[in-house]
Amino acid sequence: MIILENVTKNYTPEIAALQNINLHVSKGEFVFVVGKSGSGKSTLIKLLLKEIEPTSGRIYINKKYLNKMHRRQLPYLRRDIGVVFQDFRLLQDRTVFENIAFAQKVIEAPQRKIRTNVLEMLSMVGLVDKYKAYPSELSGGEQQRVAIARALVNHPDILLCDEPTGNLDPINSAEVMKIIDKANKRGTTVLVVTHNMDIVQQMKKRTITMSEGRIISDMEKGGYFYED
Amino acid sequence: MKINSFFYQLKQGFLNIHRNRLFSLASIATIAASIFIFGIFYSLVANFQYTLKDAQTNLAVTVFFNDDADDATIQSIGDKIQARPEVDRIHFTSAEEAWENFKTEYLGEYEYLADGFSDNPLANSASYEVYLKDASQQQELVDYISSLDGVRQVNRSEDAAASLSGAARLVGYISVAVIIVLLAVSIFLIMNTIIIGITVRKEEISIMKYIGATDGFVNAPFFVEGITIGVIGSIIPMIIEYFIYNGAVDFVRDKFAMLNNILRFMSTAQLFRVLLPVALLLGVVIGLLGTFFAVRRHTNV
Repeated sequence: MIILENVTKNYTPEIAALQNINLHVSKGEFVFVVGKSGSGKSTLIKLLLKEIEPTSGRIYINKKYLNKMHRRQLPYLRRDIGVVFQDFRLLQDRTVFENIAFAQKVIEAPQRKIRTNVLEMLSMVGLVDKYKAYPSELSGGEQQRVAIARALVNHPDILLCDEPTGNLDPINSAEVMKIIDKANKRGTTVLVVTHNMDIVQQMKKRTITMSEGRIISDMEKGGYFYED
Repeated sequence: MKINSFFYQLKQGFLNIHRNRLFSLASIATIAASIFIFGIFYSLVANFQYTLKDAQTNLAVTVFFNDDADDATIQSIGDKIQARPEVDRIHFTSAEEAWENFKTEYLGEYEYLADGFSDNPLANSASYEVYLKDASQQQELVDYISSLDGVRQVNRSEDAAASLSGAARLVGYISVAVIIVLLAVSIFLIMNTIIIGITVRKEEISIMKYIGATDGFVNAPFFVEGITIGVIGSIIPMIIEYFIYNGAVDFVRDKFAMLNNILRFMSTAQLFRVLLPVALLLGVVIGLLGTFFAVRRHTNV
């Protein structure tokens, strides 16, 4: 599903954001990536989304070789990947329904399917009754649930979450992680970059710890390995 | 593109114009001003060329014959001239007609003075008046006619021909230069308007790209916006010019009556048959190019 072979990324010749990373994430896996700020977690996400190119090494997603992928193919790669950000990134001038439907419109889904799919997602994240609300009328946790619904509505194979609970209190964090876990149980491969020690400890999923651009541990059902 | 996506893009394009209405209005005004000036120059050039064409077809070369040239020779010369591609038409004036014309034009009320002549004093003045399709080919034609047997003299209006062609070229060059500058300014302004629209929607574009929108899907509303601004910016000056053209022609005819013999004006229908589609096309092209330059760099989020 996700394969990185000897991947190095240098932003400048002196600074290596990632050094010789080897990673294999199988279909349907749930993986936490943890590490201090500057350890290379965000660079990893950017490489997987092909926002940036590796300095060396190879990256494969769903058997697609990213290094040689043409710019025109990029949208189709990204349709296989749902993304959730710490700051939600919802469109403030559109309702909950419209924010989720937006993802379907972008991939030119048939109009009749959009309504069904959006309602299915709203039901999954428990926000059916808030479909008319605007993001500013929702709590942080609710906004993140909308963002997850938007990331999942196109049924991607992979869900990348960059600090999904970074702006949430413990109760909302647990709620959000429960939804992400639900998506994983439905077959979506999940990769969550996080600082949230409690969640990693509770969920007992595979945990990769990064430090100074290297993977320093990769534990099955692992716990948190470093102190921030 | 699917049909519902097409309408979605159209709607987004119009929404962009609405959200960005001040800059959209400024762009429409600038394009309208540019196309208005283009329209004025086009009207000037078109009318000038219309007048020129009229003048050129009236520009004559006069051919006189040797004293011993008989009717058959004169006829043969006439046939050869008529066969030339640059010749529009020829007119034969006999010696008698020439004398009659002279009496009418120069003697006027003293025509009785002509009675003193028992023979036609212009007996050797039979001539062809040769009218050209294009004044610039006059020299070539004169050289050809001079080389024909039986031709005594060829009178020409070379200077007039040269100055008319030269003037036409000059007006053409000035128009092209002015229009290029105006087009560049319009494209630059529409580009800036679109860039502002892109900046306002940067977050939305970034989300679209993460979700997997193609470049075409992201850019389409901006093209709708650019082309709409271009088309509105071209329709407005055309409506204004349609109404002021007739007034301007009447004004010139009225206030500059002495030019009436020289100037020939096209009718509004004649002028707008070309000007309207050209102006609309120009609006679309300005919109397309301005948007193209804007999205080329700025939607790569």
